[in-house]
Amino acid sequence: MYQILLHYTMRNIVRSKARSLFTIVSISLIINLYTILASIASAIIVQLPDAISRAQVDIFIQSKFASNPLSSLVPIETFNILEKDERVKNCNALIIGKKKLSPKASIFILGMQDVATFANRTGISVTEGRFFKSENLNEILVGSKLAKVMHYKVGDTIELSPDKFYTITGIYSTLISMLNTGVLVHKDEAQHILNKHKHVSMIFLGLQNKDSTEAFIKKFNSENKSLQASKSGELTQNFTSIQNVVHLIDAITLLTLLVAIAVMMNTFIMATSERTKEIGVLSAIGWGRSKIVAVFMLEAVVLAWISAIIGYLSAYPTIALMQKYFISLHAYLPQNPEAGIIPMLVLITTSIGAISALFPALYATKINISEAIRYE
Amino acid sequence: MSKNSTFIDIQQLTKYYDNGLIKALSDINLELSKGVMYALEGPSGCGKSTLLNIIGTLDTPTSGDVIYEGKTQNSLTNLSDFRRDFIGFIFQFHHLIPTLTLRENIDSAMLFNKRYTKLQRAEKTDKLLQELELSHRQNAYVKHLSGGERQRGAIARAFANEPQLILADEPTGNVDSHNSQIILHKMQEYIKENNATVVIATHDPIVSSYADYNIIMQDSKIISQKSN
Repeated sequence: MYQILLHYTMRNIVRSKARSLFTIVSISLIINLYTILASIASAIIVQLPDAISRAQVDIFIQSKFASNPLSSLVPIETFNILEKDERVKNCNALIIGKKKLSPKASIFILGMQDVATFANRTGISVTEGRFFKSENLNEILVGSKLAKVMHYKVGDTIELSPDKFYTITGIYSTLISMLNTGVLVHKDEAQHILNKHKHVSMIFLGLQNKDSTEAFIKKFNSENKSLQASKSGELTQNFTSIQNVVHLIDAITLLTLLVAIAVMMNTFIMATSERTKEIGVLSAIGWGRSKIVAVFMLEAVVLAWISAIIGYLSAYPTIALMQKYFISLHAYLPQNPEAGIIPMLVLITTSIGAISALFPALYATKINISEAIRYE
Repeated sequence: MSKNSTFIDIQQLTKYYDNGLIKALSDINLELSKGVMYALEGPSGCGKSTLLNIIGTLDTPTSGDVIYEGKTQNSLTNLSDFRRDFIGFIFQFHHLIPTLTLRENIDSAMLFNKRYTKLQRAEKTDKLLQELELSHRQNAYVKHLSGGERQRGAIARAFANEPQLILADEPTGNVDSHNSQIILHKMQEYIKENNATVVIATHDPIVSSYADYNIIMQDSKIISQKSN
C-alpha cells in the first residue's frame, strides 16, 4: 500500500516539474536562511553558557542593567577582594571590548587574568604557534577567523593602541564563533587597550562549595547594589541586548517559516485545483476524504523534506561566502550550520508540508463528486 | 420487470440544479434487480448521467430516495466505503489516474479494502489483467495505452472489488466496435459470475441490444421500460 502511495506521490511531484522545482527552490532558500539564523541563535544561547559552564564557573558578576558584556563595568577592587575570598575556588576576570582596526574592520579584545587555564577549560585551542607567557605583556593570541580575514601569521605584530605593538604568538580556535574574531591578551593589556584601567567587564567565580551558590549570590547582591551576581547558566538571559538579538532572530525565523507555508500552500492550491477530476475519480472508486487529503499532505511533506536537505546543505557554502564577503558579520556567523537544529528542522518542515497541503486539500475534497469528475 | 427480488429501489427521485432553475430528474421510480443488465437510453441532457450519479452516491437527490437492499441512501454512514465495496464505476473517458501504471490503477481501487491482503490484491489484479487481455501492458502509464486498452483498464478497476452494482456512463462511447464487443461481453460475464446488476447509460444501439432491459428517458423522466 505504502509503495503505491509513495510512487503516486513521487510521480505527482515529477508531473508538475516546473512548479515542484519552483517550490523546492523557494523552500530551500527559506530553510537556508532559517538554518543560518537558527545556528547563530544556537551559538548565542547554547555555546556561550556551555563554554562558561565547562570553565567550572558557578557565578558571574556584571554591572547591574548592563545590556551586553561590552557595556558591563565591574570595579577592579571587587575582583581583588573576591580573589582573596575563602569561599572562592577560582576567580577570573574578563575584559571585553571592541577595537577598530580600520574604518571597516573592528575586532573583539578579550583580556583574561589567566588565559591558559580559561582557554583550556572552555575548549579554546591554539591551532598554530603557542600560548603567550603571562610575563610577556606584549604577546597575544589571534582568533582563527580574524587571522584568516586579515592574513595574520604567527610572528606578525599588530598595533592595538597608539605606538604599542603586540606580537602574535599563536592562532586560536573555539566553537564559540564570535570569539574567533577577537584577540586574546593579558587582562592588564586589555585594560590599557580599551581604556578601562579601573574596571573589568565581568568576573567569573568557581566556588569551593557549589551548594552555597544561591546563598553567595544573595549576599553579594545585597552588599553590592550596582553589581549583579548570577548563576553561570543565566548569562544570556541577563543581558538584554543578547536577548533582543535572540528575539529578533526568532521573529525573523518565524516570518520566514510563515512565508514558506504561504509558498507551499499556493503550490497546493494550484495542485488541488488542477487535479479536481482526479479527486472526483478517487472518491468514486472508494477513497475516503481523509485518504485523499493524506495523499496531498504526503506530497507536500516529501517536497518540504527535499527542500530541507537542500536548504541545510546549501547553508555550508552560504556561510562560507558570507564569511568571505561580509567581514563585519564575522563575529555572529557560526563556523558551520549547527547540527543540533536538524531535529527541529525535520519537525518544522514536516509541519510546513502538512499544514500547507491540509487546507487546500480539505477544501478541494469538499466538492460534489459528480461535478469534480466533469471538471475541465 | 424484476428477474429476482428488488435489489435497488428508486423512489420518487427528483433533482434540481442551480437553485431549482434546472430540472434534471423528475419523479423517477425504478426497481433494479440482481443479475440484470439495464440500458438507460435517451437524448443528451435527459438525466441519464444524473440518475447514475445519484444511484452511485456521487450526487444527492433534491427529494426522493434510493434504497439499496433495504437501506436508504441517507442511512449509509460511510459513503466512500460503500462505493468501494458495493459499486463499480465506468466512465465514458476511462478516468484512469495518469501518474499510476495500469496495474497500479487497478490496484488503487482495492488499496484500502481490508477484505484483501497484499497478495490477494496482486492475484486479483493479475486475473483481471489476464481476463481483459492487458497483462502485457500492466506496467504502462495511461498515456502509452490505446483508447481500447484504457477503457478495458477502467473496467478492470471497476470489477476489482467485485461490486454488486456496476454503473457505466457511455462506456463504449469512445472506443471502436471491436473493443465495444469485448467490453459488453465482459460485463455479461461479470453479471453471470457475480449475480451483479449493471446499469449502462448509452446512445449506442449495440449496447441496448445486449441489455436485458431498456429504460427510456426523456425530459428528466422515464417514459418507458421494456425487456429484450
